[in-house]
Amino acid sequence: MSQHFAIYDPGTGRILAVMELANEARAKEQGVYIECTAEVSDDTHFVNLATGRLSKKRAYSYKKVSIPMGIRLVGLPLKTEVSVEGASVHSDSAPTDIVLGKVGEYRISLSGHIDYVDQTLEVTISG
Amino acid sequence: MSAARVCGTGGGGGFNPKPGDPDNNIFITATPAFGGVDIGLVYPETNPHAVAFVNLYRSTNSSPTTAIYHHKMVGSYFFDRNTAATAVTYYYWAEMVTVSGTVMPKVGPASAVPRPMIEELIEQLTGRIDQGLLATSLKDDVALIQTNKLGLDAETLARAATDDSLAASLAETRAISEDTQALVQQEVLARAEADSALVDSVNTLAVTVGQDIQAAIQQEQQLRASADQALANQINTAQAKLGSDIASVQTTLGADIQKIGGDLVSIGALYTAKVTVNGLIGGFGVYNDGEEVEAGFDVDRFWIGRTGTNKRKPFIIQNGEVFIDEAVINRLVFSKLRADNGSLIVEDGKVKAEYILADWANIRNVEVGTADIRNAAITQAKLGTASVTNAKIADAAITRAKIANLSVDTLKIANNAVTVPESYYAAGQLTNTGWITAARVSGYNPGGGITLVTMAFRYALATSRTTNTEIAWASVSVSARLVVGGAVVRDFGVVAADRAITSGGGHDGGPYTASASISGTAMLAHTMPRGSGAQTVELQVSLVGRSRSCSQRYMLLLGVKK
Repeated sequence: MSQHFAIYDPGTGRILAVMELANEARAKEQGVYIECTAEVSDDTHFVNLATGRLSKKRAYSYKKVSIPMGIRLVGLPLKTEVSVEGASVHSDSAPTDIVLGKVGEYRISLSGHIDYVDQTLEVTISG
Repeated sequence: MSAARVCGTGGGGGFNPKPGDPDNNIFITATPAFGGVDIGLVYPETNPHAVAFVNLYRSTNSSPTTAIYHHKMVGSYFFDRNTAATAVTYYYWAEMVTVSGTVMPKVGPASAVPRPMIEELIEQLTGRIDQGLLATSLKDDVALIQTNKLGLDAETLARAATDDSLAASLAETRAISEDTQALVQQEVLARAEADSALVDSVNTLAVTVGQDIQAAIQQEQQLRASADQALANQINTAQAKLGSDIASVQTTLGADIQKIGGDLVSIGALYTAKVTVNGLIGGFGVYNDGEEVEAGFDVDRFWIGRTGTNKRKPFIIQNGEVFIDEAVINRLVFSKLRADNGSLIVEDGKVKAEYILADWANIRNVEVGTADIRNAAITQAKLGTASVTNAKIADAAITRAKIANLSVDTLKIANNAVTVPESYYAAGQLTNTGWITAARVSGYNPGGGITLVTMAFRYALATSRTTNTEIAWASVSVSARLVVGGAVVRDFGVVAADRAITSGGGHDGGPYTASASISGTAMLAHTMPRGSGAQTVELQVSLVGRSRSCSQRYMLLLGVKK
């Protein structure tokens, strides 16, 4: 009976893949691993290096504030990668302002933290 | 029954307990039982689960050096069967062995004398009863009532010359008419000597018709007193005789004390009631010999109950069987037991049952010839040979199986026995340029069979191009290939693409812009031939376009070994 293993980056705890393999020896051949269930995914879990155990990722928590031709995100974790239209910026302790310059619908992605679930939010700039 | 002996706790040196071992606070008890000895163990409170088994040692001597191994005990109870004819005291020691192999010092001894088997014990008791005074007294027939006038006369003459004092009297009233007589007779003999005295008295009432018809009542009283004996007897007899048929009732009261040289040699108090008819003797009695009191009934039927009020007498003995209507028994020991419909029989220590209805049963070992089980929840089972017509098993671990016809919804087989399903899945987005590895399984060994490789991934691209010429074009594309051991074994080419051209859309001199975007899921398959050792299998993807991403990457390797 095969088993599920999460292959992860030992430097960050990021799960690279979840593999179903014949045995633990096969998992060892794939890299650094931890046994898991079939429900585990790199989207939703990470390996907490402090405890050496699988943990569920949290959802980003922030507030959205409209600004002229853009949107302000308040309360993002530090160093969150905010990407839109091929450009990206990293959040700091101040609110992150995204000024898009043109009316339209945009998809803003939030990533960069292994302990948070990557998120895409859709915003409409109406002028 | 001799009392059970309980020994104290063990301990001491000479052994090296390991971590997790129990302490040696084990108690052993030995209790006399019918046909053997009950051995009981009370396990230690510290890590009792770590006790593997207990070696039981036995000896007829209380010295531990004489103990020899007798039995391996698993559990807390053992019946040491013993049917030796003679009563012997057995001594027992317990030697605990732990799961880690530690052998603890022996604990004990506990001792007990086995009791005989129940049948044997009943036979012993019966023999002792039959040889006793009470049974002997009840056994003799009642003699015919005789008038004693001639005997009394002879006694009077014989004693007159020597006795210090003798008084005798005979009073008789007789009425005779041809063959019919009515007689009232009172005989009294009193004698007093220097160191003894006696009184004998016989009172007789009798009526006779001819030689064969007689009815009589006789009361005999006898008193003796001397330095070494005191005796008081009274026998009352009622008798009827008609031809050859004789019926008698006789009660006896006797008290007797005898000494020799001042030492008590016998003492007894006896009361019996006998009824005899034509030689059939029965009765009851009670006898006290100073050491024990015995009561017995020599009857064919014995009962206890109220006349006229009991629909069923509560207690009846007849033809060697005891009938009890309702019994409240604190503790019951038996050798055979059966229900009146034969549905449950206990015989020779084994239960034979047609049906057993139990809410809960804790059974250490069960051997079942044929079982019809409607609904069973079994935590753990070890079956030597099982034939199952229809089984629904939620989770089974089978070491070895031979299946003639198998239908399986989902099959996962360990140790690469038939198939090797291995898979890779990653949801995360890849945005690199050039050929990127979307999925990878390292060290895959297809063994002696082919491998079916199934791959899937989701892609999304968007791109645009702006020129100052009248025609602007833009394109996006997704390519994929399978790489095994560093070599491309299958190039799937462009698996998804889009292209946009804009012309005349701008003004003179531009700009002219074209945009193209695609997204979707690619599903690919490939059959790998038999391999030659472990290799890395990779799905590589090339995304050409702007805002590219590859996600939901999946690869399944299904190897068929034979």
